[in-house]
Parts: sequence; C-alpha cells; structure tokens
Amino acid sequence: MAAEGGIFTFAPAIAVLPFVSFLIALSAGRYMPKKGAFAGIAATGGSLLLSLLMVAQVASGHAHHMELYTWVGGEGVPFELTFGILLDQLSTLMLVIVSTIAFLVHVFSLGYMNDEGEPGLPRYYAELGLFTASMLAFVFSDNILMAFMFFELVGLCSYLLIGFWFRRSGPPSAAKKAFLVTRFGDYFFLIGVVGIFATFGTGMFGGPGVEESFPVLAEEAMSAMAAGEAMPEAVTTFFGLSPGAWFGVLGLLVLGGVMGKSAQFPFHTWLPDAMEGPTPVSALIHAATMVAAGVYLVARMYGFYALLPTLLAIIAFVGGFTALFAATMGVVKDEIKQVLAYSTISQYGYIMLGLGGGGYVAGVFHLTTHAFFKALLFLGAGSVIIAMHHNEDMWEMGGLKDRMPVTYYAFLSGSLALAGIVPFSGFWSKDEVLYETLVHGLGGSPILLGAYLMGIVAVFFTGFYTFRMVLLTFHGDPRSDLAEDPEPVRWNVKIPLAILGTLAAVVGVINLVPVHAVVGAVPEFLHDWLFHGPETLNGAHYEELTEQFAGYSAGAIPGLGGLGTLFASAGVSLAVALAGSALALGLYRGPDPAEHTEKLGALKTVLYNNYYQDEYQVWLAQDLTEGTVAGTAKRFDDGVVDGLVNRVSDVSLVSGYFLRRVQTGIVSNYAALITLGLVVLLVAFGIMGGWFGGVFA
Amino acid sequence: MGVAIPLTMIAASALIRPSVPEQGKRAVYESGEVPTGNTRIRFNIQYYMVALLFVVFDIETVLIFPWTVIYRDAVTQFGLARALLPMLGFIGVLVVGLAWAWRNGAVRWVRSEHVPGQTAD
Amino acid sequence: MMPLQAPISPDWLALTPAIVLGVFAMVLFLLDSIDPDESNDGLLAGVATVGTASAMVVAGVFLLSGVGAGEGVSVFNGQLVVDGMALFFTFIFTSVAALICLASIEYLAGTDDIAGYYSLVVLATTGMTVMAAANSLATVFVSLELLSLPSYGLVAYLKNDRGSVEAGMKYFLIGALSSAVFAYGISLVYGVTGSLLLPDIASALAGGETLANLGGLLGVGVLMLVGGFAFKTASVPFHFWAPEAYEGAPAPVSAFLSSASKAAGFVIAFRVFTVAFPIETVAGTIDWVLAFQILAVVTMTLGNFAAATQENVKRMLAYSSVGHAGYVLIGLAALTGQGSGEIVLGAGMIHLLVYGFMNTGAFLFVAMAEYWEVGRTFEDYNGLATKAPVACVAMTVFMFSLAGLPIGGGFLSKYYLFAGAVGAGVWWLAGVAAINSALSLFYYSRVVKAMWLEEPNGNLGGIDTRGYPTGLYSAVMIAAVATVLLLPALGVFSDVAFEAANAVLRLGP
Repeated sequence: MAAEGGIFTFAPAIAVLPFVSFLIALSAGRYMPKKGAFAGIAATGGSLLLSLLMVAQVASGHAHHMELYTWVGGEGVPFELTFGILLDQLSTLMLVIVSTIAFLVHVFSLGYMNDEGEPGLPRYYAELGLFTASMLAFVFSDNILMAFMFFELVGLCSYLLIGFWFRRSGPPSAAKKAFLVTRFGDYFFLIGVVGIFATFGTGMFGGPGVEESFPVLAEEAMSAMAAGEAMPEAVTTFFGLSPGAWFGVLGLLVLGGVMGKSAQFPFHTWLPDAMEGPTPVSALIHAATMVAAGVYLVARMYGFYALLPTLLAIIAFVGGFTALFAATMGVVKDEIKQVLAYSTISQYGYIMLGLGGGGYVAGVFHLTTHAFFKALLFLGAGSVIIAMHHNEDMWEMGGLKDRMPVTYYAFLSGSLALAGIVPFSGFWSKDEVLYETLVHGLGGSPILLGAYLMGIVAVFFTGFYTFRMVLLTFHGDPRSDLAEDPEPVRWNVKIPLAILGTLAAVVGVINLVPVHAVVGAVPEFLHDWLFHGPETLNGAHYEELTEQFAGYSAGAIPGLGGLGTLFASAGVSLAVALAGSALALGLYRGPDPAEHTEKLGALKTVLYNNYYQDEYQVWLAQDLTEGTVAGTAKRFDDGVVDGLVNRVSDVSLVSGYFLRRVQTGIVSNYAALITLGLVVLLVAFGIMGGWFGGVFA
Repeated sequence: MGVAIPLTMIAASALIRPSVPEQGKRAVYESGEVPTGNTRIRFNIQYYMVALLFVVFDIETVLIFPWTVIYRDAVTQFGLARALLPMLGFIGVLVVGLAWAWRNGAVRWVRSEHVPGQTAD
Repeated sequence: MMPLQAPISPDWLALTPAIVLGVFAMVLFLLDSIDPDESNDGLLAGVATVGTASAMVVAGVFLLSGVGAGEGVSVFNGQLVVDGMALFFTFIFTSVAALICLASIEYLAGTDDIAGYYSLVVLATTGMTVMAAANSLATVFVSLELLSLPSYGLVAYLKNDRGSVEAGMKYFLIGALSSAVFAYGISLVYGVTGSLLLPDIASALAGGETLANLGGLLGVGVLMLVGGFAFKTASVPFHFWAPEAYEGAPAPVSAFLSSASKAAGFVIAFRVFTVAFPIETVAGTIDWVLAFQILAVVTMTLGNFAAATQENVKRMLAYSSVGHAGYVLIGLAALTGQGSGEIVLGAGMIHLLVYGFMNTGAFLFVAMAEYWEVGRTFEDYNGLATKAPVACVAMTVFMFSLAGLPIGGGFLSKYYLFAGAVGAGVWWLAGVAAINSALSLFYYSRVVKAMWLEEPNGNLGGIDTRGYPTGLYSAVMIAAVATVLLLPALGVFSDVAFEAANAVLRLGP
C-alpha cells in the first residue's frame, strides 16, 4: 500500500479542502469579500484538480486503497470500524463528476446569491462546503459504515440548504419533509449496515489490499451453497434463513436508504418540495450529486446485488416504474423547477432500471451524463429565475430565447440530452440502459421486459415535457412584463452554463456503444474503464456474477441478431423520444400557446396532484394508524413529527397513566412494590431453578 | 413442605388457642420498666446529633480495643510504623470529622423555642 | 491471585485515586473548620475540583501506563483489586465529579454549608472509587454505603426546599430497604459458599456439589444481590426513588447520581456477577443472565415510555436515565456465553463512559435553566436558543447523543451494545433496545424543538439579569466537547474497555 503512495497520499485532501472552506466560511465568511465564495471556489477547484489527477493515476496504474484511521478495533474485537479511501475506476469517475459540478455551482452561486444580495451568505457557503466535503468523502468511502455516516451528513446538509430561506413558510417545511422521508429510508439502511457487519464481520467494499470484503464473502457463501458445501465460517446468517434469502433481506434494507436518497417511488415525494431551496443547491444536491448517492451506493456494492436476482428485478421494476410515474407527473407542472424535479426523479429511475437490468456500465453511464445535463438544466433554470425576478411560473415566461441566448442554447443542449435526441449525451446513455434491460429481458429473464416497457413509455413523456418546458419558457411571445424585460445575468452565470452546455452535448462520447458496434475503432471508453477496475470490483466480474447467479444473459430480438437488436433498440427509443417532442412542438408552438392540459380532464387533476401521492401518504400517516403499521407508515409527511409523537404518546399515555398510578409519591407504596417485585422474581426463578424441592416439582 | 409445616402450625394454634384480652398484655414492654406516656414523642433533633457522634466513637472504641491487645506483638513483628500509623490515620480522620462537627455547632446545645415541653432530654 | 510482578510498588499505591479523594475530603473539612460561618465558595469549589480532577488524572495515567493490566493489583489480601475495569470506572466517576464540582459554584450561591456539599460529593466519589475496586462482598457493601450515605445528604441538600427534602427522605428509605435486601443476600451467599471474596465464591461453587445441595439458598441470595444493584442503578423494580430524587435534588446532584452513582452500581454488578457467579457454573440454579434480560427489557421500556409522557424536562431526563440503565443492563444480559462476552461487557462500560458526559451535561444544562429561572417544563424552554445559542447547541448535542444519533459518542456506544447483543444471539434484546431508542428520539427532540423552533414565552429575562454562570457554563461546554470528541476518539477508550472486560471475564471460571 505504502509503496505506491505517490499522488494517492493527497487523496484525503479531496474531501478535506471543501471542509476547510466550510470552516473558513463559517468562521470568517462574513469578513471576506464575497462572503466565503472564493474559499469555496478555490477548494472545489482544488478538489477537481486532485480528482483529475486521481483519474490519471488510476488510469495509468491501478486502483488504490488506503486505511486512514481505525476508530474501533483491536484484538478481541470481532470487527474493525475504519475510515479508509477506495480509489478505483468508479469512485474516481464519480469524484470528478461531483467536484466539477460543485465547482461550477460555486461559481454560479456568485451570480445567483451574491449578485442578488441575499443575506446569510457565509452560512450558505459554509453549508455548501460541508456538503461537498461530505459528498466527496461518501464517494471514496471504502466501507459501508463510513459511507453511511457521510450519507447521513449529506442528508443533513441537504436539510440545511433546502431550509436556507428559513424565514419563509415553505422552505422549513420542505426541509423537514425531505429530512424525514430520507431518514425513514435511512433507518432501514442503518439496520442493513448493522446486519452486514453482523453477517460478514466486515463492511469493506473491496479493492486492492483488502482481504475480506462483504460482496466477495457473500459470493463465496452463495457459491458454496450452490455447490452443496458448508458456508464459509466468516459468514453468519440469522433467523435460520438461507444465505440467499438473508442476503436478500440485507440488500432490501440497504435499498431502503437508496430509494429514500435517490427519490425512488414511493419515497420520491420529498424531492419536488425540495425545490424550495436556492436553485444552485437544487442543481448540486437535488439533481447531480446527493440524489445520485443512492444509486451510486448500488453501483458501489453491485457485487452484492448481482448475486440476488430477486433484488435486481425489484431494483429494475422500482426504477422503471419511477421513471414512468414521475415522467407523467412532469407533464402538467407549471413551474420550471417542478418539471425539472420530476424529470430528476424519472431519470434516476432509469439509472436504477439500468443497474437492476444488469447494465452496470449503462447505469453508471447514465449517472454521469445525467449529472451534467441535469445540473445544466437547473443552472439554466436558475438563470431564467434570476432574469424573471424569482418568478418560476412558465406561463409567465415566453420569448426569452432572444433576450438571453447563452442561457437558451445551453438549456436547449441540456434539454436535447434529457429528451434523448441523438447525438446529445442523454441519448447514448438512456439508450444503453434500455438496451441492456431489453437484451437481458430477452435472454432468459422475461420479467425485465415489463420494466423495459415502462422505461420506453417514459421516454415519450420525457420528450414531451422537456419540449413543453423549453417552448413555454423560451419561445413564443413574452407573456408578462417580467419576460418582456428580463434582468441580465453576468459572466458568473454564463460561464458555468457554457461549460455544462458543451459537456451535456458531448459527454456521450465516452461510451458510443452503437457506433462501436459498427466501427470497432471508436472505443467505448467508459466500458473499458469500468471493466478494468480492481479485482472483484470491475464490470467484467459483475457480468459474470449476474450471469452465474441471476441468470442474466444477452438475448436478441428474434430474427435481428445482436447488432440488429442494438439498433432496433436505439431506433425505437429515439423514435419514441422524437414522437414525444414532436407532440409538444405541435401543441405548444406558436406565439401564444394554450393550456392543453385542460383536455386531459380529470386526468389532469390526478396528475397535477401527483397521483395523490402526498395525500395518500398523509392518509397513511394520519388515518391508518389503528393498525400495527402506524408507527412506520406515519413518517411520510409534515404531519409526521407531531402526528407520530401524538400516536406514540397515545400508546404511552395508557402506560404512562398506569406508571403515574404506580408512581404515587408515597414511599411506603414504593417499598411494597419493590418487595413485591423481588418476591415475584424470587418465586419465578425459584420455580424455574427448582429451589423449592418437591413442593412445585 | 418446608413452608407448609410452620403455616399449618400457626393456623392450628390460632384456631385452638384461648383468647383472653387483658390490660397488661397490651402494655409497652420496656425491659421491665413501667412505661410512662405514649410512644409518639418527638425527640429534639439535637439528640440525634449527639447520638451520631456517639455511634462514631463507639465504633472507634470497638476497633481500637483489639488493636491495643495485639499492639506490642505487632510492633515487634512489623515495626512501629506499620502498627501505629494506620490507627493514627484512622483516628486522625475521626478527629477531623469531630473538629468540623464541633466548629459547625453540632454539639452546641440550643433549647428549641418553638416546641416547648416536647423535648426528651 | 498475585500478579507475576506488581506493576506498582508498594501495592497500595494503586489505590492512589481513592486516597487522593479521601485526603481532599479531609482538606475540605479542615478548611471549613477554620471558619465555618464565612466560607469562601470559590476556594472550596476549587479544592474539590482540583481534588477530583487530580484523581481523574491519576486514574487516567494508571490506565494508560498499564498499572491495572491483566489481573490487576490485588490489595489487602484480595479485598480490593485495582484492574483495568476499576481504573476505567474511576476515570468515569472522577471526571463526572470534577464537572459537578465545577458546575456547582453558581448553583449553590446563597446556600449554607457549602463545604459540606463539596465534601459529600468528594466522599461519595471516594466510595465509588473503592466500589470499583471492591473484590469482596464485604468491601462491596461498605463502599456501597460510603456512596449511599453522602448521596442521601446531597439529595436533601436544599434544606428549605420541600421537594429536595422529601426526595432525600424517600431516597433514604428506599435505600435502607435495598441495603437490607442486599445485606441479606450477602449473608445468604456467605452461608452457602463460606467466603466473601469473589474469586473464592467462584471456586467454592466450581465443584457443583455446593450448588446441588444449597442451590436454592444461593439463588435467593443472588437475586437479592440483583435487587441491591438494581437499586443503585435505578433499574425496575427498584427505580421508584429515581424520578423523585432526580427531580427534587439540586440539578448538579441529579447529574452526579444519574451518571456516576449509576455507573458505580454497574461496575459492582459487572464484577460480582462475572467473577463470583460465572454463568457457566450457576446457570442451572440461578440463570442471572435471564434475570438481567428481564430487567433490561422492563427497565428500558418503562423508562422510555414514562419519559415520553413527562412535561417536566428534569423528570424526563430522570426517566430517560432509567431507560439508559436498561441499555447498560444489556452488558450483563447478553453474557450468554455465545458471541464475545468482552464486547458485551466492554460495550456496557463504554456506554457508561459516554453517558457520564452526555447525561451530566444535560442535567447541568437543566441546572443552568434553573439558575436563569426559566422554569422546568418543555414550554418554558421555548426559544431558549435565541438567548443562549451556544449552550443550546451543547444541549442539542447531549439530546441527540443520548438518542443515539451519530453526533456524539452515544451513537457508537449504543452501536456496540446492540452489536454485542446481536452477536450473543439475543437479537430480540437489541431489537427492543432499538425500538426504545427510536422512541427516545421523540422526547429528546421535543427539547431541541422547544429550544430552537418555538417562540419565547417571555420567561427568559433571567438570562439577561443573572448573566452566564461561568463555572456551570464551562462545565456544560466541557461535557459537550467531550461528548462530541468521544465519537472519533472512542477508539482509545474502547480498546481499554474491551481489554478490561476481557480481564474480568477471564478471572471468573
């Protein structure tokens, strides 16, 4: 480990730098020229540089793992709790994504926050710095407990940042909701972490120099069981379950945290509300990075999930369903950030679909492209919002195309990527996700076809709402005075937009699968990159695992062959996306588009109310309390804090009443009760232990 | 069985014994003294102070007594220091305590103004 | 019994922490004797703080330099043994006591007999220190009383406060009852085994013959010992005194009793049960692990449920302290022989260490609120953060750490306990504890919510007029910093604790 330290010794600085900026902004932010923004920009810039260095190092050499600090451990302790850094292909890629976007968002914040003269900026930059630090540390965590801790920290920062404008009524409530819903998932995650430690005695993800990692142990256990041998000693299962079933339980528990954080159905309700936060925050946290933490975790421990076909199917279905479900809701929203919020949920559904469908590379690919184009769209929306003096209603906009061209073209680039139009990045990645699911579905796992179907239908809606948004915002005639005369934005808004706009257009280059299939000379960078990961952590290994344990194999549409299927899939998704976009163009083109949503009739109401998701969760939380599920179901919504406290106190009031009766305040009663208690114990144990000889025996 | 026998015996004697209530049986037994007054007297709080101090020195005496008996032998066997110093330490602690109690007025006898005639001194 | 080579010579020097405390108690008496009417508050508090803190330093140095390593130093023919566990707990007791002494300066301003207060605190700490080292039922009992008697006095310290006096009286009466039960238990155990020394008791039981003949008698005795410990640790059904004593007593005393005194009860229970009654030997006759499992479940459930219904913050803390006793009881209840006993026992020790800081801090915050005269209920704490934000941050840390969120050491120590219980095959115990922890989050967060989110009721004027109490404030801060630092630094202590637990467990069979 130490022998090839080199540049890797600086790895901790990736997370430490933003943390330092957090400290600076917190302590000295108010005295600094831009209230701590420059510290943040410098720190994230440094992190970006270091991350790029790490990528170079990983590319030239190989992955690296180091242990930083053992905080629990030693002889006689059955497991160690450590902090460590795992730098492999996946984590370095993610580090670059996170630090790039964090850097750009810091720059953008100069325009969005500083130029608007917001109060409390040191707090803003401090929280942003803390978030970046935690997120980066989460990404390079080498074990699941460390990952969990930073997972919680990013959740906390998200809470703080959503509630940044805490004096208004909306943000604190949205922050609370986000916190509670994700916490609800995290409870399961925590139990899962404990379960993993109890089962395997280690929480390591693996990597070079790691002797025991839980995905590998799980794999050994599964192989041993399949071969009819005894389980490895290091693995203990509970409740008498077979390894397969027990691992499934563990996987599901961890998945709870994933679904909460990545806003998957039915935990998605917090994300649209989270748009109450400042827009740069939405771009950084609620689009590109924190929400990605969930799916990143699945990718990180893919070696574990790959063993469990049921879980993969669940992941795929949850993903596919979320993709479709959220996309339909996005269709009727009036506020630009709301549309983006639902599209974020929907796109993370695709990533889940990809991962669940056996497309490890596809999932990571879509994660990458989505991070860029969605951050771009949010920043673009932020720019529009600045221009519109914080009015977010798209029906008040229109015609902004000519007044803010940089924003328009960047936004358009992101939109084309989101809709999945060739050759923008989103097309390549979304297509690969769908393709992987399709071929695995055809190749012996027909259940995936259902998920695929949902995914492909969602493509249509994606195209539709994307272009509806673009048309309403930028095209036609201005529909309000604000839109007539928007406030100009400065360089610090335009530059990030320009950079991200370019990236959103071209980042698909890293994995041009269909092109590679025809012209072998065009490499699939990402595919090769991820397949060269460290032992047991690379794509090739995962492919073996899914094939061996989940029975995933690539099939083809009958009569078309492999290549034909590839192009058929790409063609279908492109055609569907174009159809959706075309419909939007048809409906909302022209100087003064009408609100066609009325034509949907009752359906509009349903969609507008998000399928009554919030309502039913409130109903679950408030009314369905008589049953035993009360305690768990109730956490879903704002009413939660008070609601659950009341419910618990209802239960405990009865017991509390009893306790109060017992706690009379009269000391001789206490003495009597104590004696009584002791006598009961004595008699009970006496009977059990046979102390009374023949009397009771 | 061990529980049953005494219980039956008590029950049997309760059933068959004669009941002869009489004044003398209900009187308070004071080791042969003829009791005067009733038992519900409030003692002056200062009585307890003195009693506590007394108990302390009572126990001190109990500990010193065996020590003095073996003192000579102990000195010859272990030397003066190991025989004498622990006891000096023990008494020293008591002296500190006594001095403190004294300085704080634990042995100052103050006649209570509020409850005349209820002292039992 | 004798270690191969004494790590410290002469042996009795291993008792230095206790001796230091005793000497400082004497010094306090002497100082006060000079002029009882004109006591110098600052000087007395300073002496008491220095005394407890120096005992803490000595204990810490001993602990790290390996004085108590392995079987420890046996003193007075095995009546006392200074091993890792004894020193570890001495460290807990003295650190809590130092915080209490520091915090009491302002709280006691204007009351009589301040020297008496400090000397009682120091004497009680001495008792605890001896308790931690007690290796014979006789010394256990004597040291228990040395702790109990000053405690009664301390609870009733506010002589003109009805609540305080009443609480002291109740505490004393229940304490007397429990001591009687305990002494009776000792006599029964002595009758069966013919020895008071813990290791000798174990060897007397080892053959199995004694157990076969006199098992019932021993069982009764052991259960009575359980009762005695349950009193000190405020476990059900011997907990009745706790809510009232904690509520009535001066808040620093509540902190002292609920943290240090409770820990003292646990150290003695840990030692007596693991050393004198190894579960492998006595399981057939008296399955004390089962008894502690029952007590643990009942205690944590009752404590947490009762805490959830309280309106008074101090009383809520009192019940939550009962609940925490339930968690720590897992340390004994999970010694099933499965899994790793040292993890379980060590986890109990670690939790007590962390609890020492976070709970003391919480009670001291209540003391501060009382000093400011803001009132006692949750509503009275509304908007406290607007006036005293830093102190409220500290209180938030305490509350969340008590609930087991990863903001302070409480998270890790609970994690150890649960993991230990799962490892020992009593996952249901961990489950009950986890449910209780979740419930506890609600009433702890009520305090946080009141302080940060609610509007003030206009009862916070005392903060302006009375200002910040320096000693109390710094004690709260020290406790908060310690609580937070114990999250990353727990490694240092956990090694020591696991080692100490291991040593104690090896002594048994």
